[in-house]
Amino acid sequence: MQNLLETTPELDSYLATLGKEIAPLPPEERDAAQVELRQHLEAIVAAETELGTPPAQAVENALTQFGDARTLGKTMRQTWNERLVPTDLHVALVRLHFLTLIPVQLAAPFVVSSSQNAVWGVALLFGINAVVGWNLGKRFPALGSTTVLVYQFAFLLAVPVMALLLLAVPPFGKHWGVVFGLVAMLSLANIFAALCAHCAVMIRAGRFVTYPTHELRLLPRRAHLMVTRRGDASAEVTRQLLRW
Amino acid sequence: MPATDDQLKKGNTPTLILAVLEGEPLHGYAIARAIETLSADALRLNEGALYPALRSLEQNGFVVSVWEPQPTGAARRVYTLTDAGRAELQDKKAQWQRFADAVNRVLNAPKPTLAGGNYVAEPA
Repeated sequence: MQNLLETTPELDSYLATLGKEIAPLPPEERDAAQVELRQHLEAIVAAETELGTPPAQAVENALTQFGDARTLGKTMRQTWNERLVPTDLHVALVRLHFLTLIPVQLAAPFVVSSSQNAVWGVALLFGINAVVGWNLGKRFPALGSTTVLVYQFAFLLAVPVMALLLLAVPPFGKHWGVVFGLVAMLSLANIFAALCAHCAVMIRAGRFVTYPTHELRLLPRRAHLMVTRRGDASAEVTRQLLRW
Repeated sequence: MPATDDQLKKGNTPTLILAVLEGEPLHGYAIARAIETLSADALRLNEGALYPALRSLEQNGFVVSVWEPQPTGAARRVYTLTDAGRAELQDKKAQWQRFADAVNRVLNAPKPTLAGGNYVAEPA
């Protein structure tokens, strides 16, 4: 097939716009989509040109048939996000709140109430949150690391930061038990808010009710896809994975 | 194209894709052409919309894709219907049939008349 991209800046521009929209996707997904869409557009142009349409008109027709690049990119990104919603977000939030933040938040007043440990306390809070944020960013490529970090530091750090601020005020600093109680209550509020946000996302994705069966149903298929995509699947391996 | 037609097509794009893949594995461009041809040009999709639909079908395990080398030119991503996709297609066909039957019954039924605030079907 003729390489039309060199001679058609409109196609180039269209794919560049699309590329920006799907930039948060994992590189392999993004590159595959770009190649696939380019091939499709080129095929339309080639077919139209064969029928006698002038090349410039053929390109215009192809782009019209494809629709707005931003809308298409946004839809592709949303489709990718939907794949992540019921699995990674759920796992990440549960892990985040129940395994990491609660102990950190509960431990914070003890650590920082001793003045010589204050620096270590702050380092601990920021360090653990940064690691969890990085982990979330990896698990959540479609959101982008910046979004995850903003979320992490703006929302999840609110409670420990408030505790630190409270401890800086002499009356609270002297009564760390009061601070402990406040932090515990705020932690619960934090968890409740996060779970509400999680439920909202799940309901918006239309998967809240069907989540457990949906996930169970997808497990063998995902395994099958994974093996097929890597191109090293034997029939036996696939069968075993599907059975699992 | 009226908005209703667009909505109908958008809502049924995944089913149409599954239907054309029932015959043989196809790449995106061929899927669009197959839908056009099989519908006698009545269904001309927004071709960009095919790809989010294909991704969604793939994520749900209804189709799988592989990059297949072509005799001429670069490899192309070809989509194949899975067993789960075949089952989904049968479900969708049954759903569509029930929906079409219900609409037809309404369209072709003797029309009701308003009598004393209540709709009463005219005798056949």
